[in-house]
Amino acid sequence: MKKTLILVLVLVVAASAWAQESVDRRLAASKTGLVEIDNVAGSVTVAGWDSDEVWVTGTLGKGTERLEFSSAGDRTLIRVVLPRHAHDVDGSFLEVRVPKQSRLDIETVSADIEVDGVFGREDLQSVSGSIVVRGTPSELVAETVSGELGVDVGTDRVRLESVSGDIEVKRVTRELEAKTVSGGISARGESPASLNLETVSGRLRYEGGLANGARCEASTVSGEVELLLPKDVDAGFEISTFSGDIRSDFGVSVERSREHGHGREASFVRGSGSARVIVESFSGTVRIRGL
Amino acid sequence: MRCEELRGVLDDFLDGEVSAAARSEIAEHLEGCSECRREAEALRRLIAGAAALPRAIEPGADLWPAIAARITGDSAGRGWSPKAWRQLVLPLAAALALVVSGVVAVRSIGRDRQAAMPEGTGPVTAAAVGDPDVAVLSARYRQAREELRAVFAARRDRLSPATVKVVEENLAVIDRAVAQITTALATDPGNRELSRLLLATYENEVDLLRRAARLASEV
Repeated sequence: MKKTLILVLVLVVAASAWAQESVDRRLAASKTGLVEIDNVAGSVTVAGWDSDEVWVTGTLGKGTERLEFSSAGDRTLIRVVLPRHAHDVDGSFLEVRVPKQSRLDIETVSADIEVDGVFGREDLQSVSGSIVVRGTPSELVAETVSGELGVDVGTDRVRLESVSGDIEVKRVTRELEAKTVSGGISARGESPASLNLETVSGRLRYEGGLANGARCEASTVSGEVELLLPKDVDAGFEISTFSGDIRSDFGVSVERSREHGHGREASFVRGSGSARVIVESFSGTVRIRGL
Repeated sequence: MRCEELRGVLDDFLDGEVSAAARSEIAEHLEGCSECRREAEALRRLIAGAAALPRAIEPGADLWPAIAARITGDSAGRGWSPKAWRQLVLPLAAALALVVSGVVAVRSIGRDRQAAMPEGTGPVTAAAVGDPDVAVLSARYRQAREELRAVFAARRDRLSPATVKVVEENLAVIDRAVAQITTALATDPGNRELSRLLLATYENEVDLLRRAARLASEV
């Protein structure tokens, strides 16, 4: 009986392996060209390298029609092509090496996206796949619906958007714009010049300093906002909430009810008030904590 | 080249973003296919119309009926390629973006406060500007929302049930937020932070619907 089970298992694994198609293809590409990648399910992992070639390896899932892989002029296209009205197609798992100065445009449905060590602008979109980015792209724009977004880049301009997926930014270098509906946003930075965090019901959290003259805006309807700033932060604060609480560690107790109408406001200055911190909430609690 | 292949690259062709070889192949196909030629002409007119939109426009005021008619199948039941569909949706999104850009100015009202406030100052004084006409802007957003909801409803079957569920759940989150803020505004109509928050929440909804419509057009 045991032998039969093992035999069945071996056959299942073998059948699965036969159903997949291995990929190992290379094409010459421009050093600073655009690499477009489309994959529905599975994963896309991209890494920059010193060669002037795009190299695709991995496996195409069962039921996939083919891999379109072409290069013309400044543009390289990698596309997993599915049959029309495809059903029961397994995910394709692609590992792609691109010239490190390439620009990237990647779209997936449920496939996860991971990019590391690419220096050109990156436009990454997934519906339910997660997106993880490392390195120093010149600019980063990433969007998901329900997938999570994890970013650890030394990029000046980063724009991230999700619907329900959480967003985590491990270091904000200069400018960050992040927006969700119900997903949470968590970011860390040393001294960014611009932070714009917006959600409807998610939780917003920023930990780190602010550059001189920086502008930090956080807006939520019902989510909680937590800003952890250095105790010696040089900033003016303007906080308003309709029915939420305002709590500050800075010992400047200036919270008061609005003079006219409902809600609470707090405004205070630390140092010369070089940076501006503006927080708006409807019912979410706002916490300003000192690091 | 088959008709459906051509329609997949039609917008790139009209934007001049295809190779010389592809251009020649497409031109040859168009010469011999009256249906694709009509499609190309319609798309060309639409793109030209979108490009000529004024900087301030109510969403979809003139554009929408034509788009809606095509969505609902008045175009003799011809199938629309994803890209052609996207080309139809994008002008509407562009019109919405114009509305949003108009709203940005309103949302910034009251934020232009003194850059450096003296230590321990009282509540920030509102900037000396008139209150925004939130009702008018809200109505525009609601109109845009209804139009985009129609787009989403027409194409939601193209998305996976899981994605539709996420979109609908988050639309519900936004609807609840809008309802709460609207109720609060009724008790405090002069509250400018609430007005801004309401418009920002509408903007979120329009943005979510626009993305959902775009996704449905691309899969």
